[in-house]
Amino acid sequence: MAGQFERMDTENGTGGSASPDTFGRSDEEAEETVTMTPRELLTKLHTAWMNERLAPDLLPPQIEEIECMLELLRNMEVNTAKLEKKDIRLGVHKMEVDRIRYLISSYLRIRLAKIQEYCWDLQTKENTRNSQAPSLMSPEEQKFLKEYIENLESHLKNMGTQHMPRTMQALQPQTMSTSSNLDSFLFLRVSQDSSIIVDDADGREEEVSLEAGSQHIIRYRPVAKLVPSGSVDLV
Amino acid sequence: MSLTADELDFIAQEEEVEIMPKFDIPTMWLITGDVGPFEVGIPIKVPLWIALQLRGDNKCNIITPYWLTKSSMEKVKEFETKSPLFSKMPSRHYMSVAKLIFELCPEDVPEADDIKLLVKDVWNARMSKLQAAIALFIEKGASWAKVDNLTQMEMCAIRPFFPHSLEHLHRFRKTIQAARLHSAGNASLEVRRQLPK
Repeated sequence: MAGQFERMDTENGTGGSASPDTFGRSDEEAEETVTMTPRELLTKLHTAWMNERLAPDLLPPQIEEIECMLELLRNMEVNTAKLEKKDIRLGVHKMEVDRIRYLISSYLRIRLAKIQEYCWDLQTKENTRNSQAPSLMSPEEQKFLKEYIENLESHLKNMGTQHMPRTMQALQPQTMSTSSNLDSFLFLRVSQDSSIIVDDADGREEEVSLEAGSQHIIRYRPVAKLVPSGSVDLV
Repeated sequence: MSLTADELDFIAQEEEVEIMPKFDIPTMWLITGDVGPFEVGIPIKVPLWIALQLRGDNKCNIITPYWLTKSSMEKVKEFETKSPLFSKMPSRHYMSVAKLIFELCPEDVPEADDIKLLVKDVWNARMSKLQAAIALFIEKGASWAKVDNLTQMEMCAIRPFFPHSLEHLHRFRKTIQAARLHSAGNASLEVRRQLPK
């Protein structure tokens, strides 16, 4: 995975004590891969975390980026292990690794919380999804969703419905299901000029142009598509 | 949904500040980017989280950001109180950065007490402006608004209450509209399309 992202600087590691090819890649891979420095990768994850944190619905997962970053972190930890205990650099490196780990775990936890909350809705979406279209969840998250629903159903059955009269035993997910509230209002910062159609409650439509760098408070529905594409960032 | 105070601090710690190192080490290759080389007495730009960590170990002094001085905060305050719009703050996280520096090392900032008051004044001026803007927004029944130069912490101060209220207003209006269509004897199909899902 790490090979998909190229580290721009040739030297790396901890103050030169690391081997130079830690983040290296083979030449065959280079041709078709995305070039991204660790800093760009981190910025991307940071944005993804912020968006996921503030958006009401589940956004497309950034699995590749996360695996890449975990790889970088593992390398960093191996390299810092060589440093002496009282070296000033050790604390800084450790802090950085901790900060990025927090970012990643927070990101993943938010996603799991959303999957739990909207489990039935996501399951329906997943089942009706075009096989060509990418899933909203990583394979692990899909597994989590499946197990969560199974456990939830068996729990409801064991604790509740089996004690009910026979005619009332069936579980009806559609009556319990909640879906993300796309009508919630949120703050966003525009990173690429774009224009959207905003409809108000009376059905009137208005075209709003979003200039790069400006900030708005707006309903989520009209801008929902712009968030995963990176044209706007939630703040 | 809103951010917690800790998350805001976490984000603000990405801001860059200058420090005066008390040690010599060559450039460090961090994932965040390269930092260094550190030389005793030579000021250098680092992310705030590094500055705070090194300052905590007494390995450096933090050089007060150019805007966190008495004269420059006074100018910011004057501008903010005179301008009808939100003025652009010298740092996107001015409140968090000031708070973090004052918490850890108020002795690094000359006239810290005066500056603290000024920062608070600026915050208050902006918050009252924000409240007036919100009142206007709701009165007009607008469906969106531009909030340039509003900082993240200020957004969080009115979150989740304000966005939530807007959402409720939106729902009420939709319901009224649907009821109006219904009483006007429109086709039931039309009404169903208008009702909130």
